[in-house]
Amino acid sequence: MKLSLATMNTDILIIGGGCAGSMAAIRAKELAPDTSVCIMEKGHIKRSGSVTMGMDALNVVIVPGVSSVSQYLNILKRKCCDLVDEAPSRVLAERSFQILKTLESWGVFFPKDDKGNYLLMQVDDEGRFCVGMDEPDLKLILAKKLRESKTTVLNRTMVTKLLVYEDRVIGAIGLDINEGKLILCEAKSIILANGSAGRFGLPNTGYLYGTFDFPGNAGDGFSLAFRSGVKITGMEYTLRYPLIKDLSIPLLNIVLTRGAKVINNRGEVVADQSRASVHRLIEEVDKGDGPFFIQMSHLSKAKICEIENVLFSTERPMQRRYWELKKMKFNRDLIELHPTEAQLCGGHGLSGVVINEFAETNIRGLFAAGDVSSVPMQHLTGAFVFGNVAAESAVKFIESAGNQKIPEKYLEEQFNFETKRIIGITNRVDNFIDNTQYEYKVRRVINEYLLSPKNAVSLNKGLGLILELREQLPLYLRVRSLHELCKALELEYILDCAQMSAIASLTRQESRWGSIHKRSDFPNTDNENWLKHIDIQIGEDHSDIKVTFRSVQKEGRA
Amino acid sequence: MNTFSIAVSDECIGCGLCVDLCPLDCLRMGKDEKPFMNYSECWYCGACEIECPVSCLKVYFPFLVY
Repeated sequence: MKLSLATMNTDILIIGGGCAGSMAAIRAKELAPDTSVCIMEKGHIKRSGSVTMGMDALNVVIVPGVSSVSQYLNILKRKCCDLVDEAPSRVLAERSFQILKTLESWGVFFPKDDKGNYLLMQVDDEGRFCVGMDEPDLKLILAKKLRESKTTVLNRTMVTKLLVYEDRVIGAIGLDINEGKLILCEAKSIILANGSAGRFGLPNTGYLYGTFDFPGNAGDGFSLAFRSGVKITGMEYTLRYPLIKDLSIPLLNIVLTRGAKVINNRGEVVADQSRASVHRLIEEVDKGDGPFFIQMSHLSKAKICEIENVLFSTERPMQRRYWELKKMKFNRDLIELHPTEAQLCGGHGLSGVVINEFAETNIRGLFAAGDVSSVPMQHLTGAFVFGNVAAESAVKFIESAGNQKIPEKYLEEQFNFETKRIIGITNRVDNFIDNTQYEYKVRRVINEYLLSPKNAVSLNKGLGLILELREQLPLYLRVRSLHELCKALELEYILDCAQMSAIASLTRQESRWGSIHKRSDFPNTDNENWLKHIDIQIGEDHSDIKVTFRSVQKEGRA
Repeated sequence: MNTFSIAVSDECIGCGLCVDLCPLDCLRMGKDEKPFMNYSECWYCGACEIECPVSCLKVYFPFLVY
């Protein structure tokens, strides 16, 4: 395997071309058309990120006359057990309706009723913030806007390192996994938008890629940021959802909002349209009242048809084939639910890069948006709103920050260093453990030691095993192709996330968020001592991790 | 048999669009100029099937139902 080298320059580099990254590029080019903007996307821009095949709803929209920003913030605080900074979530809520309007003007389809009202759904115990969005071509629409905006897109290019000099980001190194080309990209500003840690816990099927969240995201963003000195928070929020057993495809909100019920093993209704908290369901599963089933036999033919239309057209259309294979029909059979594998995600949970309401990180010139950033439960709306915010901040930063004086040959040295590291990985052709087997071991350790119920003994054991697996990686993991090189790099990202999660979980000596962070040695929620964020930052190397506490920012703006 | 695979019919024109678009880089072109699943790392998103210009491709996952 030979690697070639290349260099390039851009004003703004966006890492990840999912919804947040695409939106950031479009917004940056709209604000400053002469600014050069480049996206490095690990997949292909037309079908990449968590919403590859479109989406059926925007989960957070404050529709005027229906709900209010303060109502949203109150409910969010309750869902986060008060561990949420108000300012970023306020921006999310305030700009949510405008985002809907912008998307609509681009041709994204939001169905309306006879009176011209958007389809609003309640997807939790209270609050109607979820607007139906029947759009299988969301990514195609964004890709078209990107073409029109003249953004440069490098497909199949994954970033392996962020370059920082004196607390300011100065570029990144990308790996073109098709061509085997390492690219040194100098940039005045970088927007990190490469998603969550979807490949974290191991799904119950044992299938590494059968995850709820997009498995192309192995925590790349968390890890890249972490290694360059960025603060990462909420890594103890190891989130699981109740989804279709064995398939881990979402359908709960879609069916509950249309009248379906969830029943336990005694046939008692445990969730319906008015009681839809997914986290409570997970707790009920943990209590042993499972298996749980979705019941739809009482629904009208028209409702079943509506549900099938949504499920089989957007987000995960392939599930139609799954039900056909299982010979199951929604109007006849019960659908079993099961908790998914654990994930770390800023969009669904509250893990991620610490940002403020301007999408700024603690590194100057580095911004973050979407699932990689900790704006709790921001969902797809957050990707769009903070894609915009990050672009606005990056454009402003470039205008005002001036050029950074970088010592001569600094970039060259960094590039040489990273090139050597990557070539070192490609030399592991004679090792004998393949990446699938290695990843299985790592994620099995995550499942067995790092998830609820957690305690100090198990977390310490897990952390030790994770560190050991990192040490063994160069000795055992076999790398024979560019594809396997990509997997080897992803394995390091997963290990970083596991290490951060173990440390954060060990640090939080209390239980919070129900089944998400349940410490058997500290079973109670302790607001007196623990109503604060736990931020993780790297020191000299992976053996030198700094843990800091940050108080919850209640009101106003930083 | 792999857990995941694709079935490609004779209508395939060998354009390679499915290989380009696969979000997880699972597919490759075979010597017969037809795509095949080289890596069993499929998320069954269906991008390959839905984007195929001649609708010749089908994703299937026989073993996932257990």
